[in-house]
Amino acid sequence: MIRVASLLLAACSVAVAFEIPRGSFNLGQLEDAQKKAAAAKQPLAFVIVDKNATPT
Amino acid sequence: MACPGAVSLSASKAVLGFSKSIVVDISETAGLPEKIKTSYRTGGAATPIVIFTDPAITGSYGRFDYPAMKSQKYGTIFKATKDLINKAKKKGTFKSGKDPVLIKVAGTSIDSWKSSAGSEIKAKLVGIEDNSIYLFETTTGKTIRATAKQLDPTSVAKARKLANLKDE
Repeated sequence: MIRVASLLLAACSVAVAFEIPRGSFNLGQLEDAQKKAAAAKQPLAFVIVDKNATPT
Repeated sequence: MACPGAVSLSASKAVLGFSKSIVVDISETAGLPEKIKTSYRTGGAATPIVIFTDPAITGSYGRFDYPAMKSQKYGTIFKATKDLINKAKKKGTFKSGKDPVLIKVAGTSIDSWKSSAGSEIKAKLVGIEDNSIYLFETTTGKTIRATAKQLDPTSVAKARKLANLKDE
């Protein structure tokens, strides 16, 4: 059980930086995102992440 | 097992199919619009957290945290939210406009401003929006928006003093 848990932990710990997908905005670009969402009649999605978490 | 990091990546890509997404690190949540901040603080805290709203940010159409998304079946996960948004569009309650509270700062000159990361820019402060977004204009005429979190505390204090605002 401990080995399985260690393996899962290791699998979740491979250090790969979180990359913001192309087309996404950051918080400083909120107004721009709002304008573009309004023009496209689309919702805004706030995606709150821990950028230090590793996408394994 | 889908790790939170993997779900962060897949969720942030999945929402791009039908929305404009703003990726926010947990260290920047103080700069979120008030309604989103309230929604963020309500419910599970396991990241990633996805909150849907209209462009005017009048409310939340859905909030999803890591346990809700760990299956990564986003077609199913976001279906109810998509339906809700479509209904709001038909009813006319899906708002696009926004009326930010802008405090204009006139008569400032080009000054040196420091980011929380230590980098420096030469620009003039032109306003503070919604008491939280600092607007600068560079010498080339480009507008830069920065949250208090993105600025050095001394720069924040200086900007707020110029705008006659109390410290945060």
